[in-house]
Amino acid sequence: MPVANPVVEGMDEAELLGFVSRAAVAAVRRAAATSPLYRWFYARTDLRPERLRTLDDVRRHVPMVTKRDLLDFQRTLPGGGATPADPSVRQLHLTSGTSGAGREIYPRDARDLAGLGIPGAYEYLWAGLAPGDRLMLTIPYSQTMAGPYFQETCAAAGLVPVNAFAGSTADRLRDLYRFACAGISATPSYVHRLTLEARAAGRRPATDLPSLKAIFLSGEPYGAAWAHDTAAFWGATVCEGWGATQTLGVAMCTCERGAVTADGDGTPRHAVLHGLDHRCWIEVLNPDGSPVAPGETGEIVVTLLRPSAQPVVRFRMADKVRLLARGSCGCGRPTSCYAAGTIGRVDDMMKIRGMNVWPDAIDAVLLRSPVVDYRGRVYSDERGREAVDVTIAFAAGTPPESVADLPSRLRQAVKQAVGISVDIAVVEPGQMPEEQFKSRRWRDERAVRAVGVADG
Amino acid sequence: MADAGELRAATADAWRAVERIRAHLGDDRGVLGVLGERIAGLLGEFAWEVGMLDPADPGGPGTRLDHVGIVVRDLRAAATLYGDLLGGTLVAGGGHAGMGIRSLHYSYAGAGAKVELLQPVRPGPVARFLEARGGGLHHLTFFAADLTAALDGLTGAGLTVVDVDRRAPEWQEAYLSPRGTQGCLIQVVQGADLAPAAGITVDSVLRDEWEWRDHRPRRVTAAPPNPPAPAATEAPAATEARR
Repeated sequence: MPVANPVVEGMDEAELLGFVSRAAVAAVRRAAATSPLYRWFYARTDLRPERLRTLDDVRRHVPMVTKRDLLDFQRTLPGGGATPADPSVRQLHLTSGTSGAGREIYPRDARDLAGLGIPGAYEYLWAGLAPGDRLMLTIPYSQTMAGPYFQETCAAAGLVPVNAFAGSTADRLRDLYRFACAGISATPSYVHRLTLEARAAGRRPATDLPSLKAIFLSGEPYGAAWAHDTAAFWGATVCEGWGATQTLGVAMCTCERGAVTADGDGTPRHAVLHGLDHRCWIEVLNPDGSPVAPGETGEIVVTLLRPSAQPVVRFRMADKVRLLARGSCGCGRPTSCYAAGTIGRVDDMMKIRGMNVWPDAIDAVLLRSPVVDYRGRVYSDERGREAVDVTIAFAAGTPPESVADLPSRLRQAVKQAVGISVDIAVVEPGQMPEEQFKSRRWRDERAVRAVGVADG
Repeated sequence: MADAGELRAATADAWRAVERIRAHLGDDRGVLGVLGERIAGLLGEFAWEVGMLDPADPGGPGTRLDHVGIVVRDLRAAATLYGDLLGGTLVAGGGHAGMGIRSLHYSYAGAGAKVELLQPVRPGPVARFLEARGGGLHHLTFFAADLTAALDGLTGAGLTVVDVDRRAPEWQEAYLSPRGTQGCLIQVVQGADLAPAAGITVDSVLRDEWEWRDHRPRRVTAAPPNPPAPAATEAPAATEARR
């Protein structure tokens, strides 16, 4: 069994939980004492950090924080948080802002940057990669955290990054072979596209790319059947990591057993994600804030245990996951366990080409006179690319000549506001199917959603 | 694979060494200063990955001796002894109006704990201590990761806790009554480690350019212009810090 850290992985469950408990209590006290955000937030409560002693105390007494709270606090800061006066800040990481609510700004200091890649190193090393192996990165480098983060994960694991965020899919396929990569990190949708490109090029990586050990997925859910087929085609373990800007990297990831397994009859089944509990305390909660039982699905709430320039304490992620009992994986590691492949949104956010897209934000662009309704579809085109088409209907009696150029203008407006390109077609109002809920305006027909047994 | 306890102890040693490096660098904003910052960041991560909440604390959730408080009549003479002759590095200091004292904190190679020199400058408990005993050991300060848990353990052992003060989130403290400690005043503190004060010197403390505010030394008057570089081969920051 690959071991990333013998100290942590050598702890028994009680030792690990004891460490997490002490660290979580300390994180709350540290945030209450030193973080402007949490001092501001807790001042509105009767929280007494000095009375906290256990994880259960933290659960019962420490209020949860949302993205909205952080954005409200940021608005009280000079420059909306973009011009921090703290000279210890070394990087600024922003969330994507595609919710339309605003972009969270996370200042990072030297401590944050020193630890930035460490959680990701667990994912790679557990998957069997070793220092010196090459890992192809396809995630763009920008003011969000993703680019710096993936670079640092390679540094923390001793891997050689093969940066492939520029160039075509054909270029990336060529470089996978040229550099004899041991791994590739990409979204499921992009891996699907790469698979189609490889097939079209007559490649058979399971036999002609023996260096490839693992494919690391992140960013969106995927079906067990698709993952099983992908693993077979590439001759590699399909792995998964989940994390966010708030968690300062991966907070849960698969081990050497990968993200998909097969039942006795060969039916694919999602496998297990391990919580990196010693760095990030993960709660899975019901809407009323109570913890879910193993086997149930709930919202992910995270507490960053390491000291940070921007502490994160009981932050509601609006992502949901199915909690599994400790030990579900069977690999023997003492961590918490979650169902791979199924992390999705509590709200109706969609991940399209790596962008967080909320239907509300598209509604705000499209649902203006004379548009009365629309339907959207996300699908995989013949080359495996994620594509979006939108069908709009105008109010009855709208003169055709008055809206001749509206589809192209709306296409530009969606691109500008939401960041994705859409194809827009017009239908008569009567041709638009009735839907009771606005989120049902959207259908997801991407190939990577192909299911097997969609649970842990 | 080394024993986790040995790794933690070695990490704590390394942490103290890095603190000394950073103290010598003072307020260096160049490559060395940033390298020191990055080394400290990496060492902090290493500590966490071997199961330490606090890299200065190999013992985990227990307490550790942070400093020994010594009352002196002549602070400059004491600085010569504890700094120049005994090799201490000045890491903090300043005046404290509330306590009526002026202080200097020295760290030492290979030692986790510091020495705090206290000179009374106005009437008060420290002045009375000096008059009654002529100076010497005044108190021991232990840091606890969790003050509540530490005090629970101490009171459970029959000791009497007095003067609990949690008003300042960054410095929560309590004392053990000397009646139960065989005469020694013991302070228990939950707080963040004191980072070395950049640019602090004995002369500047004696000129009252530094004050303790919010449990941190703050420069309250502008630093004088840089003196001419010393001819000695020793690093200027180190020479200055020991003066």
